Amino acid sequence: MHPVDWAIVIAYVVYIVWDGLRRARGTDRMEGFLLANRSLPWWVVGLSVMATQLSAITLVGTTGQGATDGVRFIQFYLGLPLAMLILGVTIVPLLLRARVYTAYQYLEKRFDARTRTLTSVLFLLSRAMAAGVVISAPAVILSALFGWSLPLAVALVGLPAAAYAALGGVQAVAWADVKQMVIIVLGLLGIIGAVVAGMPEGVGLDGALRVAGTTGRLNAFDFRLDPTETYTFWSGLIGGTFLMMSYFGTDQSQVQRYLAARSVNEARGSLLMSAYWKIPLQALVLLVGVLVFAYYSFRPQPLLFNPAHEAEVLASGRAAEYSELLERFEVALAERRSAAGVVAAGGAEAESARTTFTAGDAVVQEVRAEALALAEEVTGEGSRDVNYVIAAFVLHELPPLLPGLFIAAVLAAAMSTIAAELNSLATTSVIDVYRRLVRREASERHYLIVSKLATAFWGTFCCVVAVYAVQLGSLIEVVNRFGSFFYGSILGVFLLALVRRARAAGAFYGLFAGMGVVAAVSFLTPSISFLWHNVIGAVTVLAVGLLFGPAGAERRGEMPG
Amino acid sequence: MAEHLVDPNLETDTEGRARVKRVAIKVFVVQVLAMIALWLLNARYGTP
Repeated sequence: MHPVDWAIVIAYVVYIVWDGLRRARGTDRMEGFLLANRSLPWWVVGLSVMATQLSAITLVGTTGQGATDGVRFIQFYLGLPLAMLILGVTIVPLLLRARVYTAYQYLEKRFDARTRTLTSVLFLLSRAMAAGVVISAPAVILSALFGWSLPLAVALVGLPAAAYAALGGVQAVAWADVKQMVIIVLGLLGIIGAVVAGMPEGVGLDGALRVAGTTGRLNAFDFRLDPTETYTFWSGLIGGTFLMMSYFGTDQSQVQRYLAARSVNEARGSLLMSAYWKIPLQALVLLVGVLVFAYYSFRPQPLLFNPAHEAEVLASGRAAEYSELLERFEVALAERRSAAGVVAAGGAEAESARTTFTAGDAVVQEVRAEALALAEEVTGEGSRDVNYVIAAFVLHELPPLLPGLFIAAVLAAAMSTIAAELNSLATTSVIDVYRRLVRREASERHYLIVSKLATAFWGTFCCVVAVYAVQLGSLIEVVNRFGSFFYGSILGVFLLALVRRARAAGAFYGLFAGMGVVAAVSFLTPSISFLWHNVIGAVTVLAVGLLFGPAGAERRGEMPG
Repeated sequence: MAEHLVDPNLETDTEGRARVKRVAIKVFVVQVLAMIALWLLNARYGTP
């Protein structure tokens, strides 16, 4: 990268940390540190919610997915607006009026202590591992692109966020998120502008879309009723609604954002911002990838986007095999390129050129699949080449300033998610575990110090997980799979809370039943898409929970205040 | 059991409910328009 780009990245990281620390003022009490004194306006919370959800994985992975698979991933978000509306009139007012620090604290007020403890421990377990992956994914990419050691890349991604989250609390994190969102959107728009400007003369946006559309990459909707397909209209709308309700309504990393809002209406407004803007923003992210595909239809394209994997294959005993693939790849690219200009121009001639273009593209994809399999065999790790498409494009094809802006945007996306997750991990461990189970009576100052130390602890823990994430791959997969067993079930417990006759025993045993049924479905019919697991879990908890009527178990345990 | 723990509409006045309804309709319309836009994009540039 050009020194100007490095200057942009360094200046941005320093500014974000400095600004976060500046906002640490007014956080000398627990409510200030953990909930910004419940004082944030709806637009700050709304941007914080969006920034937390949009991680670096989204920025590099989803753009890559747009380039290789098109815009159909947008269906994943179809349920989000509906989920936000439902949450706005159900769980959000309940949590805000209960004046709680965590979503799980509410469960003790409504049901009992064991449901609270179980849900909070499940959250800590899954979110800590997930936060490690959130740090690891961009760190692995940065280390492959720039040749850094992985611990250095992890430190660059994880430590600034941990610093301002530990010292400034939610106040610092939320305001930092506002800037992070600005830099992310600027980065995306900058890339779109540069891609369109970089197209051959006469192609422009119109021609680029025509090229991308020829391969079906603009086909957003799949109306098949197939539960084994993850990205269909119905799985996105129904399964997606339950998934988004689970994430935004019961996951402390999101709940904590709107618990910091001034009022119920401000909290609702913050979620409605996502209801309006999430799908357009996601479409923008995917469009970047689609346009990058169109760009490479006119220019030379790497066979493997991951430079570290390519170098490893070339240094191995199978370099000759790779060279042979490269030759076939160049021929297919040339064939595709020869037809691209005609397709982009449109008109009558474009019809036959479309056939040549799609045939060339099919060979390009076939050879790439062989190269990816070769790289996986040589390196012994999953290629995840899709995550390198946009980064390789930005670093090698765009003029100075834009690579710096893009890397800053990737770091912004990573930091905003990590900081919010560290906030929520610290809050849950202090409020639901330490203050509830270890030390029930202590001063405000004591809990504040413990909260800061907990944030620092989780920051360090997640960075260590990130460094070892590649080796821990299968363990993290197990934890993530385990997480998918209970995500919908926890939503079921919150939905049960809205039913007047529901009681504590119903919530507790319903939670186990929900997790059990999802686990059984997952093992017995693994082809069913995970999006449906949330629906199954939530509905099971509701059904089983309601079997325990008013005569069921009484509330157990009391809140410590 | 305290009402505020189980009834999300406890303090929502008539005006508040009407506002929620208006916003819901707006969100629905915006999403439908977004989907139509995506469908039209593919209809114009996609494979016939």
